[in-house]
Parts: sequence; structure tokens; C-alpha cells
Amino acid sequence: MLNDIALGRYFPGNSLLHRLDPRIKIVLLFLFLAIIFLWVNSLVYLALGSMTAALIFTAKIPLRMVATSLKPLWWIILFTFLLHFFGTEGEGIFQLGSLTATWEGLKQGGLITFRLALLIILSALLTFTTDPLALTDAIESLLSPLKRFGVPAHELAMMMTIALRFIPTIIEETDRIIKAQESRGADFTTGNILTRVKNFVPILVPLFIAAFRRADDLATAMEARCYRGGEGRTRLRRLQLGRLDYTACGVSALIVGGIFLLTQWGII
Amino acid sequence: MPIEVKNITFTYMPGTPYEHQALRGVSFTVEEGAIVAIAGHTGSGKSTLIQHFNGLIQPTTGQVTVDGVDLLGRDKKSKAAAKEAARKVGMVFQYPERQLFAETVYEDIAFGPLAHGLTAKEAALRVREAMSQVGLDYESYRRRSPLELSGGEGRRVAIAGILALRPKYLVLDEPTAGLDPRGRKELLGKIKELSLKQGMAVVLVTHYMEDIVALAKRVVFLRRGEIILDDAPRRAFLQREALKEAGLKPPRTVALINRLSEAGLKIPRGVLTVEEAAEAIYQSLSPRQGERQQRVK
Ligand SMILES: Nc1ncnc2c1ncn2[C@@H]1O[C@H](COP(=O)(O)OP(=O)(O)OP(=O)(O)O)[C@@H](O)[C@H]1O
Ligand SMILES: [Mg+2]
Repeated sequence: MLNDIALGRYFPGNSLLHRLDPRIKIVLLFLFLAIIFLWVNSLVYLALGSMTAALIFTAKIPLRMVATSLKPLWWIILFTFLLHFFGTEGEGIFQLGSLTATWEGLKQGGLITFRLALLIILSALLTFTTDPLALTDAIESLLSPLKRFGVPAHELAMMMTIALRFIPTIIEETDRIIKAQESRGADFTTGNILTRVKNFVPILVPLFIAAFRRADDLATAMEARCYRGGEGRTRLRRLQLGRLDYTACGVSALIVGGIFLLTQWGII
Repeated sequence: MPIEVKNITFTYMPGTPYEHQALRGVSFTVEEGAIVAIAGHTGSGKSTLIQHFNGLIQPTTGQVTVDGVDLLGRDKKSKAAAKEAARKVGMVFQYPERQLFAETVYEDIAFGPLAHGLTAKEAALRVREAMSQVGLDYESYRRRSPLELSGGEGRRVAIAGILALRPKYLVLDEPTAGLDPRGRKELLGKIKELSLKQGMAVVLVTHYMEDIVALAKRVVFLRRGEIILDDAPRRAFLQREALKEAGLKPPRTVALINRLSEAGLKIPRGVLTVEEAAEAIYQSLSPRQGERQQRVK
């Protein structure tokens, strides 16, 4: 039941997007997210939408997974759409109680919904096409200039790596404990809020014990291998920018510049 | 009436790139009072199979019935019946001591009976009974915290927590994993006792062929979600091909007899326990009467 979560899933592959340096991917993602936020314009969205579609297609990400990435925010998307649909002044389509749905609302709601979906899908593309380890390496590398101001970049990245590593383990463990307690007659679906919360004790206690024990074991294992933080550590896999990365930056710059100029000249 | 598994398949995470078919057409019956062992290489689907026995997971195709009741309740009435039937199956997971949660051993064992709606008094009775069944002294253990028990003690408490539900069928997933030889022997002894005295049916998933020798009347080999053999241990362990396919090694006694036989010794096959092996070796080494007399002359 817990296995259906698509959270942070990585799809191994060898597409352009897969081969791009993870740091560049992160920076470009933020760039495009900013553009989506700054220009509320259907033509801009259309352009970025086609770009996203092309990326999904070349990275061979199953469309079903793309849809799944939207699932957690489905209600928010729907709510936002309805809010605009009924909340915008304009020519009415139909009446629902005291609420009026308008054509302008439909257009505005559609635009906002598309924008939200685009934000989510672009972000999901990053995790779909980047090995979690490469991702944390990239974050460490991007944060390292901040080390001078006391930001523990390496430690943060290490914590992220460990957390990512243990998410599946803990999901599996939770699944097992739930099944075990269900076999003993535990019931998690009936009763009022209070009894339901109480019913979670048999799950939470073993889960926490296991998590602490695991953390302890891991700490011991790391110390036994002489881990002492980032100072002076070298890497097995070094991040290195290549031609592909410069090309990607160039193309992105062209897209952004093009959009900027077109809006300046008032063409779109 | 038995637990009947009729031609089930099971697929994890269907429709995703992580889709994995763990069971491919398994049919299997656990008769009342039987002791059945399930063995197979890691990932062969043993745990997946036994989780069907009390409806924790539902087969993708096929059917599981307990005492004639389908565990897949389709409407409200049959759902209640399915739940009732599933309760007859006590499920002990791998490393069950890790699911203990209460403050005392007593409370933990009483959790199941109380959750099933028994009164405190009845539950108390069940706790006593279950603790004696696994060989834990009631007075000295009931107040202790499950966290401060050794692995073996914790496992007994966890098994007692299931026995307190008085299951008709007891399913254990690798109950002896991680126990020392003595702890393993004691636990197997207790399980055997339950089967003999209470007539409880036992399904035992195990990697240890010695456990099967000590306990089971029947053994099932799984390989990649399929049953490749279902027979009495005595015959099953002679099937070298099947053992190899299932990724298993025969028990040491059988392996020894095999080696001796390969080395040219005339020795009866179908040996299982250490005693039988000793007897067989003795028989085949001691020269026959006639030969001996000849040699003396
Ligand atoms: N929750 C799950 N999600 C996806 N795949 C799973 C899940 N649980 C098990 N599997 C897969 O199904 C197959 C059978 O798993 P199962 O746990 O039944 O094996 P097993 O025979 O019990 O192995 P072991 O001896 O290691 O306990 C394995 O290949 C495993 O990777
Ligand atoms: Mg298993």
C-alpha cells in the first residue's frame, strides 16, 4: 500500500537530460521556474510546455509516472482552478448557487493550472533523470561557496544522501509493521480521531526504535571507517562540465533571451 | 477444512517500471494439523506467498480460502466472513521481536486478544497460556519491558502474542533466523509441541534445511514464484535437480550420505536425521556376517 509512492523516483537512462551535469540541471531548473513565475503569459507557457514535453519524450519517462508526480498536489490544482473559474469577473457561462462561472475565469484558471503543472513536472523531471547521489553531490558543490559563511555544505549533503537512502527502507519497514500489527487484530480504519491516533502507537513505537537503532548502527559503521566530515575528503566521482552542459546553457540562454526580447517588443 | 491456495499470481507495483511478478500460478494446500515447510532461494516469493494466508495481500489472480471461506470479501457480509476466517491464521513475521511496542511483556501479549474484543479477564488467561506455550515463565517475565529482552526472548514474546489469539493455523516466517543453536532447538521443540498437543497446523518458512528435518512432514520448494516440488522431506532431499534449481543445499546428513555413496560405499538412501545417518553408516561399514567369517579363516 505504501509502495505506490513515486516520491523522488529515479529512472536510469542515457538521454541528454540524464547526461547533463546535475549542477547545471539544478541551476537551469531554477531559471525556468523563475521564468514561469515571472511571465504569466500563455505563449510563454506554450513554449515551455513544448520544451518540457520534448524533454519527457527524449528522457523516455513513462507518461503515467509524469501523471503520478502530479497526484499529491491534485487537490490544490483543482482548488486553484475552481477558485479562478468562479472567482473571476466576466461573461458568465453558468450559475452555481450564488457563484458564477465565467469565460475569463476559465481562461485564467486554465493558465494557472497549466503553470502549476509545469512547475511540478519540471521539478519532477530533475529527480526522474538524476541519480539521487549525483543530486546531493551537486547540491554540495553548489552550496560550497557558502562554506565561508559557516554553512556546513558537506554535512547537509551527507544528511540528504542518508535520508534519501533510507526512505525506501523505512517505507518497507512501516509496511511490515502495519501488516504485523494488523495480523494481531490492530485496526487503523475505524473509531473516532482519538482512538485512531491511539491505534498508531503499535506502529510508531517499533518504527522509531528501528530508526534509532539503524541510525546508531550507521554512525558506528561510519566511524569505524574513519569518517570525519568533509574536511580533506576526495571523491570517487568528480563533477565536470562538458560540451553538453555548455550547449544546454547556451540553448537555455537563447530561449530566455528570446522570450525576453519578444515581450519587450510587445510581440507576445 | 484446510487453507487452500488456488492458482494464484501476485504482482508487486503493477503498471510501474518497478512491476515485479512475485508469484506465478501457485496452488497449495495446508491441511489441518499438518506441518509444512516452505523453502527457496532469497526472493523466490516465500514471504509473498504466506502473506496471502490471512489476507494481508490479495492475489492478483486466483483465490485463497481458509476453511472454505474466500479471503477476498466482495460485499459487506462476505467481507466480515473473510475477516473472521483470516483470524484463524496466526502470522509470525520475520524478526517478530521488532514489532513489540508495549511497556511490558504482559501488555504486548494481551494486545491481540484485547483488540479482538476479549475481556481483560479472558485476555489474562490467554497471556498465561501463551507464555507457557513458548516456555516463558509468567511471573518473572510479565512485568519486564520488551526492549530489555534478548533477541531469543523477544521472539518468544512476539510468538506468544500470536498464540494468544489461539490460531488454528500458525504461519512462521523464518522463526529461527538469528538464534543460537540452542535457542533454535528449543523454539523448534515448542513449535512441534504446539502441533502435537493442540493440533495446530504449522507453516514454516525457512532457509535452514535442518529445521525442516526436525519438524516438517512436508516441504515445498519455491523457485521464482513457482512451486517446483511438494513432497515429504525424505524424498524431497533426494531430488538433487530440484534442490539445485531452488538454490538450496541438502541437509548435512543427506549431503554426507551422498558423498559416501559417491565414494563407492553401499549405503541406503532416504536418510534424514543424524541418528538415521549414524545407523546407516554403521550398517554399511560393518561387514556382513558371512564376509567376516571368511576373512577370519
Ligand atoms: N514490497 C515489495 N515491492 C516490490 N517488490 C517486492 C516487494 N516485496 C517483495 N518484492 C519482490 O518480490 C520477490 C519475492 O519477495 P519475497 O519477499 O516474497 O521473497 P522471499 O522468498 O521471502 O525472500 P527472503 O528469503 O529473502 O525473505 C522479490 O524479488 C522481491 O524483490
Ligand atoms: Mg522473506
